[in-house]
Amino acid sequence: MNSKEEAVAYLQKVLAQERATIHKIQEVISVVKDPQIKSPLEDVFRDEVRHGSFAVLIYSLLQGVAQEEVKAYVFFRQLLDSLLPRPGREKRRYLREPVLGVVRMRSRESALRYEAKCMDFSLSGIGFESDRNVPVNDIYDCEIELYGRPVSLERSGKVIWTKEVLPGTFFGGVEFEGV
Amino acid sequence: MIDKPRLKKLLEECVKLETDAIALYAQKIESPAFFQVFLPEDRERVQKALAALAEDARSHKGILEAVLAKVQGAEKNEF
Repeated sequence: MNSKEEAVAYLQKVLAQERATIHKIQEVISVVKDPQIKSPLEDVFRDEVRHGSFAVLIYSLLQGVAQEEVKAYVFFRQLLDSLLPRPGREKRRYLREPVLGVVRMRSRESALRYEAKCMDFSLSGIGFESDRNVPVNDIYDCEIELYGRPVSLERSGKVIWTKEVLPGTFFGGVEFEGV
Repeated sequence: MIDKPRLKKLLEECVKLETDAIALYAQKIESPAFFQVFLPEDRERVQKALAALAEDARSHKGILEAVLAKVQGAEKNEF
């Protein structure tokens, strides 16, 4: 294999594989009550969610970037870097762990609602992945549930960019208001 | 709660998915031609990333097999 098209097809298989695993493990977690069984499954689930996002990130490197997306590309590279173990650290710890979770967004302009996966979170905004193209420049009220955090966060902000990185898979960024 | 036969079946399906993932990653990790489609500055990091994903998949398979063994060896029927 050495063509871009073949590489894309391969990475789409990887993405499908990771997502199938995420859903299957979540199916088990949702019905198991025994903590000795559930706890290791939750560890695996968190890793798998990260894997699914990284498969998309690797694919995004194949697409190249436009000038206006340089900032986003830096974000992609930082996330990809964070996957690589640092010598001397525990195997499953990373330079910078992406903050994963679910984000529910409601447009103030249209009142349309979107649910996306949170891929990164900071004081200034979030990066998200969605199966729908969320309109840019709208202001959204966001409810953010980060995995492993008992309390959800509420923030408002503007979607400042989106990009279709796979057919039906969009990356985007929200910049919070007042930062 | 879930009964033992149903949980065993689900865990076996998880183990199979991880086994499939290991095979999928192994297809390209040792194939230099695959990485030529990436920018030169990205090739090494993508290769390392895929290798790390494969290593995690092997680790996950081991964890899931251990959980499955624990379920199989348990005397109780509800988990």
